Amino acid sequence: MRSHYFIKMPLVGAVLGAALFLSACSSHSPEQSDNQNQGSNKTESELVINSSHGSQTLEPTVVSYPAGSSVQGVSLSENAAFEDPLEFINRPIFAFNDKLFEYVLIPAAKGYTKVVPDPVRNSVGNFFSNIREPLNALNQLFQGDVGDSGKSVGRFLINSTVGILGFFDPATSWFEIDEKVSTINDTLVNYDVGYGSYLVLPILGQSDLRNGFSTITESVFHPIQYATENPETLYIQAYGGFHAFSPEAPTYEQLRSETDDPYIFFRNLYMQSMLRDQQYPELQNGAAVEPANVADDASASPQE
Amino acid sequence: MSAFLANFIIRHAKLILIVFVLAGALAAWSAQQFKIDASADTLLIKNNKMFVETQVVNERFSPQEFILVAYKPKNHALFSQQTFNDIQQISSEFKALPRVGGVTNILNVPLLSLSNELDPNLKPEQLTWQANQYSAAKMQQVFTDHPLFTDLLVNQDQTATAMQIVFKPNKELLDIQSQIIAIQKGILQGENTELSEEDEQKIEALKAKAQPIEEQLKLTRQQEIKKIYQIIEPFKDDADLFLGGAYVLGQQMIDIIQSDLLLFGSAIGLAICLILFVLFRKIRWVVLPLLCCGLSVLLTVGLFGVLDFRATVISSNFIALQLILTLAVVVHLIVEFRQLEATDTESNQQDLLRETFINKFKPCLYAGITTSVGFASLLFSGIQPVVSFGWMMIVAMGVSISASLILFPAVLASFTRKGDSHEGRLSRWLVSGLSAFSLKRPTFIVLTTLVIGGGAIFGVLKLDVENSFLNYFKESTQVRTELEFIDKEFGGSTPLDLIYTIPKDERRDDLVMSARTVQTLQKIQHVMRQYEATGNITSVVNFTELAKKVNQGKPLTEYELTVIYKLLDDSLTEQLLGAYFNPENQQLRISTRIQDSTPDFNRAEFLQTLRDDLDMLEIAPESYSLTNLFVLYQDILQRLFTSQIMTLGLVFGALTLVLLVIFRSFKVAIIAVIPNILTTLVILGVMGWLAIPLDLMTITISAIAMGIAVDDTIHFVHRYLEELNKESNDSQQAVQNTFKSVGFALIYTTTIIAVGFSLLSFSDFVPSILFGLLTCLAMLLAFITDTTLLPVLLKKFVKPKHALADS
Repeated sequence: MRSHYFIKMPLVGAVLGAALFLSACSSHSPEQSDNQNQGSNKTESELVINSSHGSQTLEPTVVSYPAGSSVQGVSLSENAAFEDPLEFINRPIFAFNDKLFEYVLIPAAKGYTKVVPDPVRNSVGNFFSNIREPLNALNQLFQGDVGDSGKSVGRFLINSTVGILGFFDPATSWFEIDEKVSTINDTLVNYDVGYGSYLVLPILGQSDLRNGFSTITESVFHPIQYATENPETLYIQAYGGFHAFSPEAPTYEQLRSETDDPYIFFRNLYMQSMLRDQQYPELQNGAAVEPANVADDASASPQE
Repeated sequence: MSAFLANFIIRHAKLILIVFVLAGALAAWSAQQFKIDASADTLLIKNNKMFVETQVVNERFSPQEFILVAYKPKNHALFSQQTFNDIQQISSEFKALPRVGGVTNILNVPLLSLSNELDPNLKPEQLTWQANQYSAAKMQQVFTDHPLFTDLLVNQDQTATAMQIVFKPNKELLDIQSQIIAIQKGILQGENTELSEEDEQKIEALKAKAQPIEEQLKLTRQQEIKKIYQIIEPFKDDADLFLGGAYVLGQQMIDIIQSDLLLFGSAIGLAICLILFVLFRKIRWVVLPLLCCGLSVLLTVGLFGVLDFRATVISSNFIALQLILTLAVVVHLIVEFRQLEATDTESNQQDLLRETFINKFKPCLYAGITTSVGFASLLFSGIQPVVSFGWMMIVAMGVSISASLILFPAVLASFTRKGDSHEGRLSRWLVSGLSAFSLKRPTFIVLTTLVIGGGAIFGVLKLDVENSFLNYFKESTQVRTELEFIDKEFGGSTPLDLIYTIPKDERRDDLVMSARTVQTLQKIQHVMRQYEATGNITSVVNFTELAKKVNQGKPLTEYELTVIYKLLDDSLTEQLLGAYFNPENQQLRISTRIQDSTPDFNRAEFLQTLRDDLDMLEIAPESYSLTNLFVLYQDILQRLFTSQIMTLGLVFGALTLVLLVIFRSFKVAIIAVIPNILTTLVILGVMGWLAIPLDLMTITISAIAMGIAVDDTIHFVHRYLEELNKESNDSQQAVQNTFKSVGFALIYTTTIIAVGFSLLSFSDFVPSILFGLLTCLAMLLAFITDTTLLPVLLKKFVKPKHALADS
């Protein structure tokens, strides 16, 4: 079930901004273990303005985390935010994924969105969201967030029963308990585990070592595993991923077509968003901002 | 020569009158071609680099023409159903106007911040009040500190909301303009700053093509504003509604100038009639000057119509000036005639006229020539509207002098001698008083002059150039209140753009723009926001701020920005960002409006501070440019200031030269030029001391002061020299005689014009008030210096020739 995020990651990671699983995490402090990021993050975090008004600082609205070696030949190594040591293996996998998308997944996704009516796809989305609520609850518990964990359990109970196996979402619409996705990755971030390195997973797309581990592990412990047997489980999980990917297919296609080196583009897109989320952690339990909304919308958006 | 002319005129008086009637009729017909173009655009220097740059930028970013209408509820909350209903209704009525492309208001703007994600498949029209009927409370929440709409659609205090009426551009006109710009662009590249002859002709042809469209547009705009006022009228019970924006301001200015012209034109005319009658107590001495003035103006305007001279803001005073100068000539003629009449009881009307003409022909001609020379100096200013003002005044002078000199005898020749005229008691007392004073107190006069002159020089040094269109309207007026409200609450009036060209090393192939670029822009904007005078500031930064807000306060990465930009619908990006980002030229635009109502605002200093701050932000001067009206006005003002004030020396040089030719004496020429210099200096000094800034309207005052002063001087000096040449006279006698003749004419002209123009102080239009009072002051100063300092200097330095020969 987690898998759909991976496919989605390169596609809408940017578009959904904070929405994805990294941002939904509850880590309070930027990554400590990741020393190479620290330097650049610090310099980026505030703009210093010297003018007739004196010296002032300002939070930027747009940030950048340059790659260590740029393909464009511009050396940015002095303030590189990340390296890509696995490029030699990532590139071939990316190329494979790219062809797979182009010839199989995108045409299929287009057909899928065309044929299946919106309300149906909405319900499918609800179903997949609901079925991973126990995972959310566990992760939130591990992150020490008992309140959110309880909410996730509550949502699961309501939606699985009143919401008819999770095909509807009365927890949100009637009880106003918003969904808040939490993954193993979030938990790891919470325990200051570094992301390791950029990684492209076959079929699933852009990721990193930490997130890759999270994905694989979650798919093993996914609640669906306890409800069905293989190969049905696999089919269902694959369908879940495909379902999440389908509305984004045209997006991938468009971005891909406008880019000279799609590998670099999607890598930077992924890495910058990830590093940004690390540097600007979610406002936890903020009175005004409800971080839960973000996660909710993230997982819900493909269905909309 | 003058005798021959006099005879000719008197003999053919009837014929001449018929010719004038015909010429007048012809002029009246061609006067219809005459155009007053009070719009500020006429001031902008064509083929000036900055002007072309602004044109190019405007074409590139195509900002739209708009009017702001502010709605300020009287007794209900701003965010309430009543407001929403009113706005809805007013807007739909605006929308029905043919040229209106759209009306932006709080009800139909997409409230992107209500979406809690940045979805590329966003349908902006789904996120509006119109689509969702959000509650008043929700609306209030959305518009509180909104990165885009605060100061634009809702003011900071949330007491009023604005509707932005956006007009469709005229395609045909746009097309012609872009053709012109394409040619003009030539000056921006390469060294040759001049356009070739061929290009100039092409531009002229294009402009001729554009002109009827522009005329039509101007009329349409006038009607539109009237219509808008009609539309908002019924809503005024519940709310205050204000119109604003640069272009309403322009229209209000034209309206007020026109109504002033009518009201004060007739008031001044009436006042002049009254004073003429009081002074001369004969209907003919009222009718004749008016006839001369009226016909002179009519002929001049007719001539301008034929020559296609257009009055601009700068030259809009030409009628007033021509009235002054014509009156002066006629009054001198009248006084001369009456004096001859009084002394010579034998001659008939024709003889008296002949003599008047012969006596006054030369000084009037000289006065005309010297005044023309003064105005001719404007031709060297190099600023188109000032140059054309110079030409207009030269033509006007020529017409005035010849019309008065010919008409006066021609009209009077048909009358018989009436006799019995003498000067009033008061003026006689004044003349003898002045004459005695200047003869008895030379040291005092010279000393006072030196003190005043010194003070004036200090005042001149304090002179400032400042142009605030808002300050053109008197503070108590409704127009001022309205415009000021919009200016203060809805982001300023005069547009200023900063165009940032992304440096080559910041450009990235895979990104729409790099984070560094946005951050640079953010820094600039942050600095700009803190200036007191900057109103609303918008650029790409506002959108990234909004995105950040939607993104739960987290900044976007440069790749996310790129993805959004690429995925958003093209028409939507054009609508949102087209005015701020031009990908082909890699240029970004920060647009702001300067608040004209900022107290004690020094515009030149502001621009310098901005440049210095940009320098401190380490932004290379070649990577940005400042454009649009604010800079253009500032530029033209500075040029005007330099040309008007700094070339005064040139003017006086030329004047001295002409005086030298006329009087054939260095000494006399130098003496005669001194009162003129003094008058001009004191006028400017007074402005300096009173902190009246030189603006587009008052900047010609030095030329005017000089034009007025030189008239008095010539008449006085000319008569003095004549008196001096008479055998029996010594210099004291000559001064006394001069006073007794020309003195009256000087008093009369001064009284008539000073009283007449002081009426302008009742106007609502500040430049009119200043113009009236300063002209009045110039008249008085010229009179005082010419009746005190001038006789003292003449008496001291210009001795009679026969006296010299004797000793």
